[in-house]
Amino acid sequence: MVVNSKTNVFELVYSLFMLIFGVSIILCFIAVIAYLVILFNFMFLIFCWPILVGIWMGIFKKSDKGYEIELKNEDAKKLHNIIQKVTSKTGLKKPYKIILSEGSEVAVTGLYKKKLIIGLATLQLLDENDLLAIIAHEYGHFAKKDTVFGYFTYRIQHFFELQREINKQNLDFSYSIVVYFPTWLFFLILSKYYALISLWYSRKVEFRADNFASELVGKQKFGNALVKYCMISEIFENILPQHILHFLKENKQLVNIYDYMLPLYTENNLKISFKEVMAAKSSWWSTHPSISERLEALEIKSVNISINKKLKDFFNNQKEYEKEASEVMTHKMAYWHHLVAAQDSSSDEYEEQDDETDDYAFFCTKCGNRVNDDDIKCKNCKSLLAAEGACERRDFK
Amino acid sequence: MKLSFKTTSYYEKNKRISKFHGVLFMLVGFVILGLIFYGLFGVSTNFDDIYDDWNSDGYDCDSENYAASKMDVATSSYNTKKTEYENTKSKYYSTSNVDLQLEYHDQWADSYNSIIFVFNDIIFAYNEDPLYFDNCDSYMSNDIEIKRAYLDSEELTIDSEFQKLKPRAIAEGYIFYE
Repeated sequence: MVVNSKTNVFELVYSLFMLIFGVSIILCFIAVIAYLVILFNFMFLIFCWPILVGIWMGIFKKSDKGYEIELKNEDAKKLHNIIQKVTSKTGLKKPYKIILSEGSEVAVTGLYKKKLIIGLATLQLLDENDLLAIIAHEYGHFAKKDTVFGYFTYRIQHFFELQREINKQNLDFSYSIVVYFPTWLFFLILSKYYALISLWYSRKVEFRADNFASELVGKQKFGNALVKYCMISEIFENILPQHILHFLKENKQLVNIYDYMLPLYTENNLKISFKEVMAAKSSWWSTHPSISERLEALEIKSVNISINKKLKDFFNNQKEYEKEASEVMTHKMAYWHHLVAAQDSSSDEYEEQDDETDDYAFFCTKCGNRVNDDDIKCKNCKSLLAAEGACERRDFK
Repeated sequence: MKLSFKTTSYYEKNKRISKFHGVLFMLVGFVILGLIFYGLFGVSTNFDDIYDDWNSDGYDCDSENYAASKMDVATSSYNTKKTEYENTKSKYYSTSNVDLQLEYHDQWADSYNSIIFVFNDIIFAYNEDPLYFDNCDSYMSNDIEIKRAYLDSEELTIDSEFQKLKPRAIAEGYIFYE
């Protein structure tokens, strides 16, 4: 297959409009601030210096990449073979780096050099064909330079949101409110508008990338892989953080979060997850269209999901990478929990709210299957749930 | 495991990625940009115009001016107070009796204070619309300065007269508390 290099003219015009609009606003804002600095010089610098810091950070400071687990080339032979299948079919270049993420996302990033990010959680149940389909979708973004436009729109949006936050934090009843209030209001409206237009584009290119992957691996295969990926992601992202926190509170941590999660990928849980994935609706503020929209766009009516928990062989030393990623995720959760606890320590309402919004589910302790609270027997392993300790309640949001 | 679902035609109805939306967003964006550019360059030009108008010589001197009428009232009361002031001053100089001179000096100082109040009214009236007086009554600022100089010299005179009167009054048995 040769990649269709013909660009949709409207998409090109729209993406150029997003760039021109964002850059023009930033330049106009800098011009106004420069004028105010000349007009009020030291008075402006003393009272409104955070705005200047925001401009500097918005333009020059790169976002924190965080801790990256880079997959070594010598470990990634099988994964490279899968990527090779896509690159040979499309004629596109290989990504210069493969990053393993502790979560469940699969994404491409990078302005000049492309990086492929693969969430270790997704590799638990995806087989080779599934992964090929998902990577093909990401190559759909590579092919049309979505990462380049995505990078610039992200930077512009980041600039707007940074200014909005800085001006909001400095709002008080001193004289400087005459600068901070209109600037905050301006960037509040502008960041919403820019999010709206950039997310419209983001959703549109997702359909394009879906078509690209469907042409490459077949509609049905891609649909199967997409749904399976989303189901895994839904279970992983919703259940795991609660469990990590639970262990952290007891001063314990999971050595391998992926091994811990494996028993939870039961057929029953996957069916529940499927319902939730299909029920999810997209909105004007969604980065991606909903799965049902994407499947309907591909005219897929049903999907076949095969579960094989004995995969885990996409690259060498996968267990070692998983342990490292488990450490990273636990560290992030501990940090996040610390932040939340610090914010809520002064609020007495926190516990009441937590009780009200607390969502939970019951799981069979033998096989990890999700069960109803009034079930007597586990539908999966047929063990009696009424017996003490056979069923445990876990927080499930 | 085969999972099937109903087709909802949700995608067809609500795909939210239509070209219409894209065109609409672009139009809104260009309007926002237009307003910002107008705000930056159009309004700044207007500021210059406003300043030019404000600073122009073409002030309408024929129209009724509130500051001018206030100035008339203040000037009139200044003239009245000044006459009263001159009378108390001449009364002071008309006698050499220490007792009377002390009494007239007090009246002279009180009269001076009341003329200062009226002079302040003149200043306030001038500051209400200085451009009017600069453009339509250029004599006024000069007149204010003459009045100010007169009042400054009178203050010195009152002080110096008191310094002359004080030793004579002490010799007559008056006691002054500093």
